[in-house]
Amino acid sequence: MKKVLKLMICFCLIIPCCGCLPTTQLEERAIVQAAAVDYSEEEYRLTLQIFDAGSGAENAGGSEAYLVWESSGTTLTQAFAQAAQNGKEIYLGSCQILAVGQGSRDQLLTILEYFNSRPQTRATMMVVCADGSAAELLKIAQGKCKPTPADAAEQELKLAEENKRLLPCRLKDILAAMETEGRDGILPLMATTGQEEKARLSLMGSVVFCGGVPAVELTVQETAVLGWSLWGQGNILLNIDSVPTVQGSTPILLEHFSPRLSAELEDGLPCLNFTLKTKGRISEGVGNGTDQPDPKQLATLQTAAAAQMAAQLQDLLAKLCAVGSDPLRFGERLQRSHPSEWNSTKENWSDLLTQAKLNITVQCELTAFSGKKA
Amino acid sequence: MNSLRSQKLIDDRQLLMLLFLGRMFSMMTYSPGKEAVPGTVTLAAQPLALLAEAALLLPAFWVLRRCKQDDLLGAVYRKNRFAGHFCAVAAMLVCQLESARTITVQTDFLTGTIYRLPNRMGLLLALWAGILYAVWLGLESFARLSMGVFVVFVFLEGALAVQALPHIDLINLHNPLEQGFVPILQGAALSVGRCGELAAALLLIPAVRGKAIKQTAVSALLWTLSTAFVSFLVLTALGNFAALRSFPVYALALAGGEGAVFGRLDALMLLVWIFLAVIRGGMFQWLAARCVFLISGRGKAFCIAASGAGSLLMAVFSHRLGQGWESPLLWGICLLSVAVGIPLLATLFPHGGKKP
Repeated sequence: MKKVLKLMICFCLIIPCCGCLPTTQLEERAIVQAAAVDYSEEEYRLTLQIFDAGSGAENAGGSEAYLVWESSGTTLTQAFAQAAQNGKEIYLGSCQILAVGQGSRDQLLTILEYFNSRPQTRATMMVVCADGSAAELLKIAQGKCKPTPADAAEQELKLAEENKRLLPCRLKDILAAMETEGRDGILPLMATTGQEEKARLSLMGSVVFCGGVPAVELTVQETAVLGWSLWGQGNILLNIDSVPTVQGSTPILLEHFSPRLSAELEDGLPCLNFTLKTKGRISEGVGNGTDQPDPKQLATLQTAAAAQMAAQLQDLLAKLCAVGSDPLRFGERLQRSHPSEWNSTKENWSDLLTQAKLNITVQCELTAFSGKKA
Repeated sequence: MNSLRSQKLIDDRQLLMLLFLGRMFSMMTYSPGKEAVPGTVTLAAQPLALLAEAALLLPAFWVLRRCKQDDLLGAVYRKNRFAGHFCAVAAMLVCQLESARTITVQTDFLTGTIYRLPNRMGLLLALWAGILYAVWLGLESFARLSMGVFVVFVFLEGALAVQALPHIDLINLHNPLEQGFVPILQGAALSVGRCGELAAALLLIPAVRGKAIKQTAVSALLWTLSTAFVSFLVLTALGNFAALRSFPVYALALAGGEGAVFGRLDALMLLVWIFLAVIRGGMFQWLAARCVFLISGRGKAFCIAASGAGSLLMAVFSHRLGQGWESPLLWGICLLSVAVGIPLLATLFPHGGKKP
């Protein structure tokens, strides 16, 4: 037992002992919280939000003080090397957000691969496209933004992800999508809204990539429709235009999604099937004002909601197929179900998508606001 | 030099732990991007790999049964002293290579991913010295240690599963038979090639009390299940991203972020990984030292120093081999030379010779 204890102590010590080696101390590190990459005139412009460790005791734990560093270079390595000339070692292990500017969207894969090649980079770092210059996202409110731009962007994106208004946009998701044959990545689009002190970061939609280059931009509403392809709980407010109320359209809250996606070939052309079962509840003020909705009205709402959702899905998929983009992984589904057919079409899958046939079926089950059925 | 003689130093359950944890060290370094076959194929090949591993153990078990003893090297020594020396040298080289591989993999992980050090020599020497110290304390010391590490490892696997659960997407699994059955065979061969623990199992038998053969089989089943489980998590949660990382299991541990149930698992994983390296490295180093003892008959210090020096040289100069050091062919040959070569040599000689 003594020997075992000796061994355990000995090897637990290996970890702290590594700190005795000539490694970088905390104060010598520039802890990056967010990074923004712009590309113009064959030069990368790198903007980094750095944790300001030297701004006083208030920074101990969850500091909102930060610095913004800028550098440039013909390669990202050069740009990082220039940033490191501030005398600190750049540390990417805490980087929450990577913003890619409008001019650097064509270089997205190169940028992501560069960041992924740095061993400290988190696989869960969120990647966004900036509507314009990415640097502007980090320079919001002249560096006095509270919470910090990194925190603000992360909160906005996480909330959208939780509510199913956004497809996963972590580095691991985007890189996996872009490295998979026949599959495309989709990045959230962010911009600064408001002026000076009231400036904030907002989700403006998303950018769909096809073959590594930006293909089409989606609005916030269209991006939320993409979220319906993910199974599980959500929190999406949908206004049913075909059932008007005194206030305008009828709002319903969609809370659960069970999508079933599949693909097959019909006469050599892709046939994309999207079947969605969704559950939700009607708003408090709808109907007779009580928690006992009229069954007829509920049935009308369910039919109208299903029809509207099907139409929205149809428009979105048609828009994606028109540019040959496949962020919902129909290609991989075809590969799983019909491998031989996939082998014959994978080379020109993107072109075939432009002629794809869409089969969309939506079922919507609604309850009263309290969850009571009619 | 008593501890290197044919004494029953550990029981069969401790053998199971040693073998299982040793194999889990190799599993932690698994990356679909470095494999010749896709990740889904490797996953599907695991049952076949288990059968192949069982088949590889059969010749040695048959020889031991035929010779009515439990020491493979001892059996060869009894038949022909020269052949015994030859087999002991071969087994020593294999064990030194495996120990050196453990040291280099762990050092590369620590210096390349965790501490970002420009030179790996400091950590390499620290790990090597630690392993030699464990060997000096004796096989039973790190065999007992393995029980505690096993518990922590099982907890880590459970935590990884909880962490990965929200990210699991079965669409990341493709049909393993898409390219036919040949890649499955290839995947099984690659899995078996990584399994140096089979050689360790055969060489450790003389030091084990109880049902060593049965526990070896149980450990093979356990490591197959565990490998399949972790590979499934990596492939389904990370998708093609796993192929882009050198250590995807570590990337999975980080994937949960601070908001996950267990927070970031990297510190726990790092700790477990170092213990796994010590257990695996120590196991092979102890076996290499025992081989030196069989060859030279010298004292404990000499045997450990001589075998350790060889491992250190191999580890230091491993980068000269480049891709060859990672080649499944090298490790496959190592395994075959112990699991098939030594039993084959034992059957070639008639009974006779001296006890070592």
